[in-house]
Amino acid sequence: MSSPPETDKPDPLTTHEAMSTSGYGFPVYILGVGLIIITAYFVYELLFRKTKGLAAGGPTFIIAGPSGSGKTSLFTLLRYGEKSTTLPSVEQNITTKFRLPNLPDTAKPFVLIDAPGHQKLRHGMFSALQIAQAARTIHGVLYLVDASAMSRPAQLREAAEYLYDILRITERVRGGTDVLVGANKSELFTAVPAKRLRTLFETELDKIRESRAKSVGKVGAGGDKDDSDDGDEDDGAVVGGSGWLGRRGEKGSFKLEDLETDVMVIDGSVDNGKIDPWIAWMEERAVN
Amino acid sequence: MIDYFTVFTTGGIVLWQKCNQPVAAAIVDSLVSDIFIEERTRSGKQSSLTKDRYTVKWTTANDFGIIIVAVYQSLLQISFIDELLASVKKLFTTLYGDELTNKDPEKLPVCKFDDYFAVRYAELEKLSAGRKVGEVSGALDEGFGEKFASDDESEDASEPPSRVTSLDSIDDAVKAEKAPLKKPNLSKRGGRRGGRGGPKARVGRESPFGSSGDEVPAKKSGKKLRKWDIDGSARDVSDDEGPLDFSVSNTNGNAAANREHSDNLLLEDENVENWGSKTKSGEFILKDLSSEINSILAAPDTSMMADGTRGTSAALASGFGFFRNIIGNKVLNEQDLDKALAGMKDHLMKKNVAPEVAQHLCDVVNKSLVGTKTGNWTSIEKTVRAAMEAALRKILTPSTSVDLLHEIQRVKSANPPRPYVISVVGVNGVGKSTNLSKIAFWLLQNNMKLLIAACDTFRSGAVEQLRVHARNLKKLTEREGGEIELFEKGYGKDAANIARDAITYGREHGFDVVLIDTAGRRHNDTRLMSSLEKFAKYANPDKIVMVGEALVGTDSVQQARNFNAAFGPSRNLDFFLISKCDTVGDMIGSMVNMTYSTGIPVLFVGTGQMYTDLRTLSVPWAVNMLMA
Repeated sequence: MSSPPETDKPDPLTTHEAMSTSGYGFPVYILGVGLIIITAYFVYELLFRKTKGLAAGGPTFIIAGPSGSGKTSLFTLLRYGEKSTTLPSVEQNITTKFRLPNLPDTAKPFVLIDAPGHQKLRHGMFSALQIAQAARTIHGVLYLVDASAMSRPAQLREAAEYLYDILRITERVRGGTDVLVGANKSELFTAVPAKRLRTLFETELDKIRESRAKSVGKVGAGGDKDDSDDGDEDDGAVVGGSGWLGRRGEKGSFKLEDLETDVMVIDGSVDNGKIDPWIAWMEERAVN
Repeated sequence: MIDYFTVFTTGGIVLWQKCNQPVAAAIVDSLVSDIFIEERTRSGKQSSLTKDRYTVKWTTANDFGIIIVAVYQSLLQISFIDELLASVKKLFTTLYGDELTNKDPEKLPVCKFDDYFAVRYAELEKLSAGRKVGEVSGALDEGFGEKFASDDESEDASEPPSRVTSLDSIDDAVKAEKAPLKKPNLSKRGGRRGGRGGPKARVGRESPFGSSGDEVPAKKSGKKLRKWDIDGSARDVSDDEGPLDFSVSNTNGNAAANREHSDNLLLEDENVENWGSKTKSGEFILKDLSSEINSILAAPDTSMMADGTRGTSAALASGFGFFRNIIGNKVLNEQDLDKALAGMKDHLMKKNVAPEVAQHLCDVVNKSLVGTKTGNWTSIEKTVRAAMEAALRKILTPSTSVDLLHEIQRVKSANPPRPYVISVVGVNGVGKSTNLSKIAFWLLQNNMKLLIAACDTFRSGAVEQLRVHARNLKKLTEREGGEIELFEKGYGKDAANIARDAITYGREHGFDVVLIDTAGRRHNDTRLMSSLEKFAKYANPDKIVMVGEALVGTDSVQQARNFNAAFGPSRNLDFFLISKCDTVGDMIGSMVNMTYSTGIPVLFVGTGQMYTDLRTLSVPWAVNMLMA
């Protein structure tokens, strides 16, 4: 009989192997299963997350402007088709499903952000703009102002300062981000028309850049107060820096055309629903 | 009557509003921004604010992102306002909660809340009317000079607040003196409060009603209807035994009472739609709104669930308890936040932030984070940190930006031209004179004509110090064309008069800016602080700058508050200048203290002892320093 001699006595090699495989195998098996479960869960999370972060969002439009200019009303009008009564916003209104009316339904929905206008809350808008610019998803900024209040110097100044800060950010990108200055409430009697508003803004922006250049430097920016050049490109001190906007060395002659950012000023009225020029502007910016 | 009641989202979209009296939009806007953005209400847990002639009370529901606000005339005393806010919050979130949790809906949420509000308002009004009558009767009792035994407030809950009982008690009070404990407790409690003096009692009424808000649902269920049996005996019936039958033939003994009761119901819901709805077949089904409201209010608070176990991903995550912190997407509750916030508070206090301020910041972060979900891959610590950064940034960012050069130009070009007046105040030794000369140096670099007024007539050497500064600055800026002059009248004179004379001198000689240096004074020295009011009246400065040093500790809160209040009711500080920032490294918490306690921004920061060591505050820098 060719009975293998191994069956008589336990072969040390095979038993050793058997022992070794069973010795290492079981915990490894558990570990493997555990890893598979964990990776499967992570993959599930990554793929099927419903709410993506802002940076991963699609093409973006941001609505900004001083308090009381009608941003939230415009947001509801654009998004829901009806204008809602509004109060001062405390937080941003964000939608990821904004569709422009004249674009085909197959086009990607836009991300529309309505940022609060109060000075304490402006940082949210600036950071959203910077993120969108870095991700190259920003298609335009709608800067809404209350045209009827622009006849008053204090309000005009405040609106110009906010616009200045926005332009400082948009100028950083080559080609700039397009900015539409929407003169809202143009149906009112005291509303400043768009052309005149453009010149008013240019004068104010000129004065602001003068003032900023002459002001005391920002703490932590380093150097003495003459650092109007590098402004605050570094992390942290983003806005309100003494950076110069437009062509150097020319005083009293600031023109919006000098900027890389394409700035247009168009009348409109959210109350009456006359926002077609703005929608047309957005649609132009939507394609490229 | 409440002038304006509204429920709106934090994004500013009004979900529902009820406007009984037109309130100017500007007032509502400024109230909203004062309360929720500038957070002007710091007095403890009180959620009310008085501005102009209006009082505002509010409540928020963070998990749904809605704010509920009631605006009414300050002259009125609406006692049930807190209960009304709480019940509106509960009703609203129960009725429309599903729609509201969707942060990006397809259409605007439609909230037909008018009927519910009207019913609830009427209920509460009746309740409080019942209590009020009880108080009136108590006032009569007190007129007999009797002291009543203090009763437990909770006993009130068991008493049906019917008018019949109160009328009885009035009769009894008038009739004879009696042992207080034998009578219905309602009037006694009211009597004790009413006896303390009419107007004062009304003010005190607010808090007891706040506590009895929880008892209202119990009270509602305890309201006993009365049914008269065939044998003439009264039987107390609870709500769920069916509605009372109002047909005349049924009642016998107390037809009058029943008719009165039915009259009340008719008055409550005059709107026929409230009584019911039509079914498809056209039948009219009676709907009892008040019972629906009661059932919603009586339901346990479902929003306080610890884990938001919604969705399969959360279910998966619940298995991985340890990973939940890392993976994120966890609904935060109080316990989670407590530990992180305690650590954050210690961290802030190490940076020289006062305990009161650190506590407030932690409360703000707590309130804003409870009930929200952490983002993807963010732990609780990171979320808390981000929220704390946002809160700090919000405190430090000014509400209106100050551009001194622009304002000086504006005043210079006004007609007739007058000098722009800046004055510095502060406690002893913070660096007023030094920083004043730094500001002077900067203005001189911008070709301004300056006058320094030495209104520190108390400290030895103050005038000489300013003379030296003026001489140095003149030498430094001669080439650039700045002009500077010192105006002084020696020692011992009244600072306010010197200030006024200096401004007159400045106007006559065409100076652009007048800088006034005042004597240092302790903020708790009332005599010295009171002279500031006269100073402000005489000098009428355009800007009053308070200089605070970065080295000061918790005292900064009180310093800022006292100085802010020292200039009279119509004048506040304009901005802060924080000096000696180079000596503290990153412990710049006193900045936060001062802005927190007064709401006034920090404009300048002193970073050394040379003329060029003046900077404007950069909020990102400050936040980085504090959070690092």
